[in-house]
Amino acid sequence: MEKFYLNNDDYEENVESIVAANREYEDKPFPSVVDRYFTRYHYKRSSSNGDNEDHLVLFHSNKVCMIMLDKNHIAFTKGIVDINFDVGNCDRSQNQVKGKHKKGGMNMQHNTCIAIIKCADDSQYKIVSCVQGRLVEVNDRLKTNLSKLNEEGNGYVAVVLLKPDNYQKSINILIDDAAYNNIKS
Amino acid sequence: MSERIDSKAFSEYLYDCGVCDYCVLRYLKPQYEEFWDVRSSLKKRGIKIAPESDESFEKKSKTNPCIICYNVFHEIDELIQKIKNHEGLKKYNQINTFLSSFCLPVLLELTQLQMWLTLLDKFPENFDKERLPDMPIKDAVKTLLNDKLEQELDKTFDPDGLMISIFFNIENENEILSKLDMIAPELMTDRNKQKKKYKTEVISRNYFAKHFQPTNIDIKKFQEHLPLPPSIPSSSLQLTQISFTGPTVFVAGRYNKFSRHLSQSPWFIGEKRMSEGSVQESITCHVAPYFDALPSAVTFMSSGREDVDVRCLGRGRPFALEITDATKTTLDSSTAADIERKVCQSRVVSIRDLQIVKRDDLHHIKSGEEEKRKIYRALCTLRDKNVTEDILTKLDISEPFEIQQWTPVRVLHRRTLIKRPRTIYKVKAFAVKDKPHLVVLDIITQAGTYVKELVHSEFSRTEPSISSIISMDIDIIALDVMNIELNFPPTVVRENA
Ligand SMILES: [Zn+2]
Repeated sequence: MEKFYLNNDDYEENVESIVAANREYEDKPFPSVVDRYFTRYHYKRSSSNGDNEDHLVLFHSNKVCMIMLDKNHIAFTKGIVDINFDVGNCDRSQNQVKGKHKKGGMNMQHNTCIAIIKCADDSQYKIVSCVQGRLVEVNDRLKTNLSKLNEEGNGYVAVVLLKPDNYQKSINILIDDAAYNNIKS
Repeated sequence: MSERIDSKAFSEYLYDCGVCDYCVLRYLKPQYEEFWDVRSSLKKRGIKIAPESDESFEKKSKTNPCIICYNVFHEIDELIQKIKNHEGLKKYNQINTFLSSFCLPVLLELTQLQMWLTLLDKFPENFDKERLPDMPIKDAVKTLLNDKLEQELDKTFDPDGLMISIFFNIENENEILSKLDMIAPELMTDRNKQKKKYKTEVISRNYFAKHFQPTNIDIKKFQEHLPLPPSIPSSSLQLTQISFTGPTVFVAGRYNKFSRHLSQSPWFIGEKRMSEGSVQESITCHVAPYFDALPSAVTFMSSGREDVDVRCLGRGRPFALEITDATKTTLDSSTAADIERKVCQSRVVSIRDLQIVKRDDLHHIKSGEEEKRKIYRALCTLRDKNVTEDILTKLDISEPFEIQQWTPVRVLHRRTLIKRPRTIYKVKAFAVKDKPHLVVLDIITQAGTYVKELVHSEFSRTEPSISSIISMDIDIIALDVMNIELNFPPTVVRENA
């Protein structure tokens, strides 16, 4: 292992100089990417029989949202066998945006369907936009990597860009992390 | 071909019309030097000049200004004295080059045309509609003015020098120009369409020159509204304003940033200031005063930028400042060293190699962005896992490889969503003593690579990534820029540094 230790003389700036940045994480974990850049919001949704279909919205401070399934979603208990972005009249994975203003991205309402997942028991669930805005990107890598759906961040299904004037309206429909955890317990 | 005119009889005619000495000379195919002493130049040519003594001529010319130039030539000496003694000139005393920009009233274009039309009528053998009969007023004024300014201000003419702007006015100009509408309404139609845009002036110099030529003017109709030759003006032209603008200078250098809480430029979200200070302000506030420039007159440019929480070490990042209306065009080594020292006192930013550069040199900073290589050092964490020799060996990569990187979510609100190929030239990993979950990575990338995302993959939006190479979660705690491979500006060795 010795040969892998950083040599202090490699640069004018010594090793301690960058390792010092770890000092504040000596007795607490380094926050995850989601913790550092996003705020978690939850979108309540349930089947007619009362099954949990909650979504998780990772809200970036620049008003870009990443939409994914909440870990309490019933589908995870059943086992997900497929995700399909070709919903009804158009294939969401063909969505393309141009330029800084993401022109051409589909306009989404909070209940617009982005994808449909199928479970082991053949039941299907819609994944919806949760927020009003413009569809920027869908994560079609999930098709071949269904297990990621359950990983916070890695399991994002779509990226939606909020329009500034929809900001408050979108927030009002969502439930923040603290309130959501209170409801559950 | 037009015949050569008898210059004696011709100049006599011009004097009778009320034309001044300078303007008479303008019609005699003069050399520019002849304007220096116009009366002796005319004498040399055998012209019988107006008999008045200089003194009384001045008096007469005040009451009866020249019908063509409104006595602009007589104003020049006084104008130069006004420039020389102007308060506004003082702060530019270290600049030894100048250029002048003067704006003559458009009415003088009209009087020149009127005289041309008059000559076509009186001397049809000697003048034609295609060729200018005279040296234009603006050419003669420009040469005379610049020559005299060079002498009186002891500065040399240079397009990159101190700009002296001079504005003239003629009292009833618009009233006379408005007659053009009646003389040639067909020539004014385009102009009147634009009028809403240009409310202040009846007609622009360019528009006049383009549309009003003897070839497309009906002399009879012209004479119904304006006299040929032009009538004697009620007052001469007035100097309304003199203003000075210093040259634009460019200062380049390289900066280091030692703070993880400092943005490169002032950082606002909406109206709200997000962090105190910036690299740009730390540098500008010590450079601008030397050039007597307000910080707002300084534009900051750099070869890329680092995030707020990223330090920039090593030789630093090349930057340049564009300073408008500067009072100096040079920066000696000891002053530069002094400014470098002052910036360094901020403790969060330091600069080196500070020097004046040419505008043409800026392409080093602005272009070729993608070709530059950047050297980074990243402190990474495996969280609850420990580093192994296997991991470190996998991250010892000396063969360049390509990654595909989607625009990171954190900049997606202002950048286009696109998948960019980027080359990673080299990766080397190091373990840290007594910190088994930490890894230090030295990475050489193509410019424009998002290094944080290269490490943690941003939910697989960057592929391959350091995380995918080791098939483990790895995250980045801190990042430093260690070097930017760009040899601009040249290194400066300070004598007493
Ligand atoms: Zn004149």
